[in-house]
Amino acid sequence: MITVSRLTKTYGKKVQALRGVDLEIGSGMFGLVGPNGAGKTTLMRILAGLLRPTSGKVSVFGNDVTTGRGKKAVKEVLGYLPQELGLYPDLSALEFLEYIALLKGVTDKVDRKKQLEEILELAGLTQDARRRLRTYSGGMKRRVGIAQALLGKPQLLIVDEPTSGLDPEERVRLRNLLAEMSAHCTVILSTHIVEDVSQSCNDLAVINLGRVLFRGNPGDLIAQARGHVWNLAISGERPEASLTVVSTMQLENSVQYRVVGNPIRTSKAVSVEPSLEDGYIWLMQKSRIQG
Amino acid sequence: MKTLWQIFAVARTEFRFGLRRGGPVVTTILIGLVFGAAILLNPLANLSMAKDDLNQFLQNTTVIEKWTAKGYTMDIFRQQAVGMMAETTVFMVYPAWFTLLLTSFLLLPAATAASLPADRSFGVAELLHSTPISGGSYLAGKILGVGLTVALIGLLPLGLFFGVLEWAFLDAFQVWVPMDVVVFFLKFTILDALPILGWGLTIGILAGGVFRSRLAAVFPGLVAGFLSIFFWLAALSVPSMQLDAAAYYLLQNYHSAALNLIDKATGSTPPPLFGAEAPIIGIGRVIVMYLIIAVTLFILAGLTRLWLKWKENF
Repeated sequence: MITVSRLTKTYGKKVQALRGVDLEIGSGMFGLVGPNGAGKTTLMRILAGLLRPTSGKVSVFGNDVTTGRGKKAVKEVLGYLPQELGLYPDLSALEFLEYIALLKGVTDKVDRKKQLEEILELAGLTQDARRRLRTYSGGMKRRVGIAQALLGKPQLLIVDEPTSGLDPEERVRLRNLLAEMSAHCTVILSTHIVEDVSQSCNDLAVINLGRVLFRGNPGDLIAQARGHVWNLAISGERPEASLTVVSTMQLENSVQYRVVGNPIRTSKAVSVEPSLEDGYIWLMQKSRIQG
Repeated sequence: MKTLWQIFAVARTEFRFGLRRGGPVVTTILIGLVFGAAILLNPLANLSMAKDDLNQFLQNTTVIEKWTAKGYTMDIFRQQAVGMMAETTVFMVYPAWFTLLLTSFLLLPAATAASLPADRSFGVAELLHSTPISGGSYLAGKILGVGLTVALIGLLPLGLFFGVLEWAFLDAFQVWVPMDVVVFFLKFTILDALPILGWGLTIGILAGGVFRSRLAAVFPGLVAGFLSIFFWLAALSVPSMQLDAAAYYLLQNYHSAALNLIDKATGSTPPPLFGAEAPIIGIGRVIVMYLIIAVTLFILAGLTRLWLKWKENF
């Protein structure tokens, strides 16, 4: 169990990245969604013991990550994929992964070899494992990042924007992989891509401007938007400024917009069943209106 | 045990990285070449003269007969010539030593200062910090890894030095480099050059630890190296001599092939290398020098460790 209580983080004197976050995260796969700059990465880094919070409490499997001992205990069971992952260009994937395995305490040679073979296979990198990382594509580098996070059989897997830079096929494969992992460990998936969460998480939080706006399951978030999502077929004019356009489709004599919000003129609007993305947009819209 | 594996992992990666990237490689070879040249240049200037003398000797039967009558055979002449060359080469370490200090402290810290910022600029630091390795083990691994790179690369100019010594000096006399010359330079490499290189690279790594950019780290590396020259000369050198205790001790106790020959031929005790008035330095003073180096580096490493903890929660 991961418990976050009244957590704040201020950079310098002015930038408030987290403003009193309260969260409880159980086992399985947890999605943390929010726009860029919402505070997701700050929260992930605090959970991983990389960043000291300004105030508040964070307990990961009973360990207080604000103490040296607690931080070390968390790192012993952690698999972490940072948002901005870099790799040593002059090492091969195999050398890099072996390096991380040793740092994570996989000291038994046989076990290490077995884990490396399995993870390279899982990441689809077996054929290219001995090539220098400078020759890898962006997607391949991301897969190396995911592979290193899985080393050492972590009990807590924190992945920050894991699908950025991946092609659609790779994204699906990664989502499935994380879902499989969540059977054995707690997975925290931070992303601004709602689709990633909708396909794999049954528990999520939406965060914006350092505050948790929603906490629950995807169904609850979708339910909140019910009655606020419309298909609007109009020609020669744009939807009202207060509405958020989710998609636009050119029809024969008009343009069909899928919008989120409360249109003033509903004569041309047809209420439709919301998706998780609609729910997320409705939540953001509400939070903007409420200030 | 796990900590040792972690240190080994960091060191091995740094070693691989160092060899594949070139900064420490080029610097170490450069230091070796400058130092080697400083030792060899003066004897080289006298080489042609020595060769001419030998050729004249070999062509002049009257001279050979005269020397043979006195009991000097070709063999003795050759050995004495070799001994003199060996003596000159080793003794040139004295004036060349400051060159080693200067090049090591001005080049090496600047070259190795990028070691810690490299992890940040490559974007690997955050990942490394998320593993259970401690800041102390990480620093130890970095220093060990760069140290191994420099030590291994340092063997190249050392080998080249012996090669030039053999080819330029002793080949003319058809003999090998005398064993005591080889032993002297090996002792000097391990007991003095290695601490100097070790200090230079460690100071560089620690000074660079404060910076995020590899380029920005070069300047503090240079400053740390510059200050190190004064520290080394003030705290570790022998009074009135421009040599540290280890170098002085080694030179003082060096007994060359030439001195051995003179000793045997005349039955007299040859004078000490630095003259009769020169101070006598015992092994105790050398040990104190190593202790000062170790304690100072330990304190500096501790400060860097605290900085990493404060600044990066590592």
